[in-house]
Amino acid sequence: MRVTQGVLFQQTLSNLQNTLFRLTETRERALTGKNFVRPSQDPVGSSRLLNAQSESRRISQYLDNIGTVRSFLTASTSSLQNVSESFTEIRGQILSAASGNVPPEQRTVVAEALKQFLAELVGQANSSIQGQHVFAGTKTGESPFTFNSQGEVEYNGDSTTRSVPVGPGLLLPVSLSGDSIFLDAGSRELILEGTTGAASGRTQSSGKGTTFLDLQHSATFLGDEGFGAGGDTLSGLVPGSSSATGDTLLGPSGTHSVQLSVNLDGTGTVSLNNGVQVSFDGTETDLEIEGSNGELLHLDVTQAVAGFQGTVAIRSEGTLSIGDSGAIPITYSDNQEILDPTTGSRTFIDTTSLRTTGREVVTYAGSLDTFEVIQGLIADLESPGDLSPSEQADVIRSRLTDFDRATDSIRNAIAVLGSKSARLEAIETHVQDVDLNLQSLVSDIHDADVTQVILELSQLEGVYQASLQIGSRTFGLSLIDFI
Amino acid sequence: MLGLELGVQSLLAYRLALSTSANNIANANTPGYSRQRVVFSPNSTFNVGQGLQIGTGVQALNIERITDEFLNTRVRVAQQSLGRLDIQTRKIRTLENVFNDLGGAGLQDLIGGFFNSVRGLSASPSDLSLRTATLESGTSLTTGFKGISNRVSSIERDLLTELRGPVDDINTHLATLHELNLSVASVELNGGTASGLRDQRSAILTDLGRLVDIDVIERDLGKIDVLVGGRLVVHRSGFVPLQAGLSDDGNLEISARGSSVPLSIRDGQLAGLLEFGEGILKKTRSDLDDLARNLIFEVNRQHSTGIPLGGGFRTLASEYRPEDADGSGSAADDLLSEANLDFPVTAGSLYVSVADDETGTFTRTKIDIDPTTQSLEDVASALSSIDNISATADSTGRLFIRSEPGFRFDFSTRTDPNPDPSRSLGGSAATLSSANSFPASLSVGDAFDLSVDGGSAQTITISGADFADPGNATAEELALVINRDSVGVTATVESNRLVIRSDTDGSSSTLLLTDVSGSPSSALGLSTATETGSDQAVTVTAEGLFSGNRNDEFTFTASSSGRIGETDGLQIEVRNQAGDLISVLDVGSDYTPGTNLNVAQGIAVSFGPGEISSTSGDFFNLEVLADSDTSNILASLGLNNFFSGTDAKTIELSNQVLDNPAAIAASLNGNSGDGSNLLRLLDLEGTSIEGLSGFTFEGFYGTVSSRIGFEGRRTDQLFTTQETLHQLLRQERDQVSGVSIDEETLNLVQFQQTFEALTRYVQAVNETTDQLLTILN
Repeated sequence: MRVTQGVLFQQTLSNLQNTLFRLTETRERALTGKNFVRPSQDPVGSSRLLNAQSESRRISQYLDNIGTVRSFLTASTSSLQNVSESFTEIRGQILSAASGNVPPEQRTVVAEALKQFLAELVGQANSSIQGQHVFAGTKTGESPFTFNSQGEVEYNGDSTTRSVPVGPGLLLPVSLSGDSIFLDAGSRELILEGTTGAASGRTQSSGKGTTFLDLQHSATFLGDEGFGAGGDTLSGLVPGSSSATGDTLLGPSGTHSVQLSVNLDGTGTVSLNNGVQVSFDGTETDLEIEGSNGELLHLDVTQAVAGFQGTVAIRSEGTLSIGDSGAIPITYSDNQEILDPTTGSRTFIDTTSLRTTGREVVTYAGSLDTFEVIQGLIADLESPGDLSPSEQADVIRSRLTDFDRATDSIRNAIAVLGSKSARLEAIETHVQDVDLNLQSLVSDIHDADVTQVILELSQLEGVYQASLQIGSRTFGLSLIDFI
Repeated sequence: MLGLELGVQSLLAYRLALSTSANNIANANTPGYSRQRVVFSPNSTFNVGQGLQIGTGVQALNIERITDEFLNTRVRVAQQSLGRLDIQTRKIRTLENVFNDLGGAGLQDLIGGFFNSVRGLSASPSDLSLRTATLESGTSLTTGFKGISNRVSSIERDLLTELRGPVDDINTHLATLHELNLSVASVELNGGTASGLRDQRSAILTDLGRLVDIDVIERDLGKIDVLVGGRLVVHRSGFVPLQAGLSDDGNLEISARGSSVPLSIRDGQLAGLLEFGEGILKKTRSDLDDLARNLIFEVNRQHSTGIPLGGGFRTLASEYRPEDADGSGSAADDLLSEANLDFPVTAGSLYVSVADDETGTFTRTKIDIDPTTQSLEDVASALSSIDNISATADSTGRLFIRSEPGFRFDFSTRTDPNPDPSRSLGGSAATLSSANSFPASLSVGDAFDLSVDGGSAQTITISGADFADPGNATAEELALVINRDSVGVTATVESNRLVIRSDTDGSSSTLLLTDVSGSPSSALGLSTATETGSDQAVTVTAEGLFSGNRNDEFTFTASSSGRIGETDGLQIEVRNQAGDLISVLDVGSDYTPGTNLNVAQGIAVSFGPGEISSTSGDFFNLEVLADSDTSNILASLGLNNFFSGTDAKTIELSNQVLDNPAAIAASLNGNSGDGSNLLRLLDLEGTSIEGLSGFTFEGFYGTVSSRIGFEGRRTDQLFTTQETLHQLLRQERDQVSGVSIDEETLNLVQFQQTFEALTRYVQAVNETTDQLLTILN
């Protein structure tokens, strides 16, 4: 084989260049700490790297979003916690006002406190973070709760839940709409507040909000109803002249009774439902008797049978009306239907245990409005109407059930927010794990193993040095030197 | 003087040999040089008598070039590939630098960054600073696209300039080759060997080979023909220069001067540049434009159906315009399918919602769009037919939509809150609804009585004149007949069902249908029981955001009769368009009227109190939308768009959102805190896009940049292989033709010694001659 100097030079040069090229590359890896700086150096690696990097960017955005959601949840929770504490505080005051012997001034004071509490409640329900109302559903731009012209609290938000992407494929519903917390404070039965003895019927009523049930008396019948206008043959008792308008008792036969004792001279005593005994001289055509519970009965005792000693049963007829329903006769059934033609709502009342006439406040089943509950309490405390102090106390106590339900609703909401926060924490941990994995993946792909690179570098340096030395040795040799 | 002559001739031969060696040494580093060798030949013998013959010394017969033409060709071919791969490697590296995202801030970063900013905004959609950030990342994306596009364009422009360099070199070489052809011929005509000239020519051919693939054919008198791409460019009488240019469709091409036929160049630098330009560069450019185009379209499609902060629009102007393709002077009268729209309109529907500012209630109208029958003007008049908005199309092809004062419009998918305006479920008027779907099979002469509100019977008779085909009677035909032949009732067609409704309301409103002839009631699926109106009509409200992925229609049908919220077990069935039962709603005694019931897929409805009836076929339909613009007309015309432009060069933020962060249509229900449209926009990030061969945006960009990486790596590797091959061939060639200095030195010593000996001989001859002369004197 013929070897020329040219070949020798070429070979040496190309070997030197190869080594130098590898040396440069290794040097670059050592300097940048990266396995490659151009995609062509490792196309598969760089494509994996780019994907990992964009995933990692997404992750960091998820972490940002988690931060935003957390502050949103914290704001929501702290608002509700404030409210919840106030609920506990104010409950004590209501309870104190609910005892029968509290002076009216005391109740006014509690009413004032409740008014302040209502204002605070509305304020907290309108609380916002960075200009976004937290309890407004998606209508975060405007205050969700405002007072309308009638002084009622209205909800202006919507019931849409806002969802925020907090992880790969994870949408966390973050908002609790105000209506679900404050306006839908649990469902309840139809509530009748009053002392007439009316109760909720079997069938669910379809009305909304609050209205009045008015119970009126129309006629009273005594005993066998065979004597005169609804009088009793045996005792000779006849309903008094103002019985139709003045009687306040209601109920089917057997509900009420009259205890009558007639002396032989026509005088005697009479009592209603074993209440206060009233004496009569036998000439009274319209004797008013008050029963043990304040119910009134008017009697005509002029035809009372002398020497009668005994009890006379009373049956009373009456009418009832709800809202604009118009008066309809009371049937004393366990499920009497009353139709309100203007709203179309149907109310079912159990009238079997009716005892007296009067007015019942009817609150329909369904959503319980926290603000309405408080406003109702304020109204009950401020204006007792014709209720006696003890009745007023009863009404306030019955309102407390609603108040407690409203409190529960807020506590539930806090619990829900708490579980959302817990879920958020779990997601955050998960997302951080993913991030860590990605970082290590990126590092695996991209980061050069410095020890190895330095080893390689020094090895290549050695090779290069050797090449140079060998080159310089052989280049010096020529036949000319020896001739 | 035989002796002296011998000496002189031999000396001359050795001087030639010495000079040849010296020449070899001198040319040891000349590229393409083939070593030369003096071919010695003994001179003819001289008969000195007695049968003895004596040689007359040596003569230099020839100076021979030691070369292997076959090897030379192989070197040249290797050189061609090397030239091609070398330039490709370099060009791809420049392209790679444009697409090198490894340092961050590449286009993939920007696409991801854009979606990320949307993701951030979705956490707090009314936050103006986040909205501004979204616009900024949108701007970064468009700038990024344009930047990359510009850099690709400059590579494209450079390429033509770069092609001209090698072409000029080639032309110079061709001219030189032609001259050398002539010189070689003139030398070799006289029987000589033009070694130097041939070497020179060989070197030029090798150089030329680096630039372009050539075929060389040796002709007589040492002339050669050179072919490039099959075309003779150097021939016995001249040469044809090459030229580089752009074809009409923008392709790079090389042709011989005076010809327009492009040469097919397969190798060498030229081929490298052409392959790069027509291959990966072109593909990259078109992929980049495809990516931008699809991104613009898909984002716009989603954005256009959203609602900006602060509610719907009062005015809206389109940004993309149809062309005046028919030359009528107006672009608004061209059919949309023929108006060369950048993004085509397809046949489909557009849903327009018009909301009342004060009450917040809205009405939704569906407009059918068919680009093959409608022009922009037709679309404008269809929009104008909607209450409280008006639209105009001007001759330049712009569409303007305006709302009346106090109203706003939008194109969102939000659910119609009042799905049953005509109260076909639990309406106050007595109603009969057909249970069967149309067309119905009736016969001529069939008749039924309709008795309205207890009044006298009105007979409706089926006559052949009223129906195209009574055996396939449509609901519309029948409704027409009923409305014509009876009073006190109105027949309408709702979702292909016949609905007959008394004109009076309340419990006094009754309807009774009885068959008179035939049994039309069963053919139509109409009840023959007395239907009574209700004093309270059922109010239906719907809300929610449909989560399905195709537009659908839910049909709500009373499955039993009774009062909502009172009757035990009262239910309403919900079926989708395909007729599948998707939900059964309990509205009986356990239901509180007015509360929301979840239907399916994000939709909730509530029913007010009232009476519903299954026998009279009470029902209503609720259209639920996944896509409120199936025609894509919004994205196509650029109404409420996010991006404008059509490719990577022209992509911009639209005028709609530019400098107006509030205009980002984040919401689908119009509320400031709602980011549902952002969530849908975000879905795009992971969606495989049909126009991008099923890749996601980032994935597609990934294939573009990794293709360049792979291509770079491939050419790198090929280049290295080719370089090794080339080197081996050169070594092989060197083994034959290269100058070994040691060898030449030895030759020198050897020739010098012989030369010295010969001088001695001449001296000896001289001395003997002297002695002879002395004797003679």
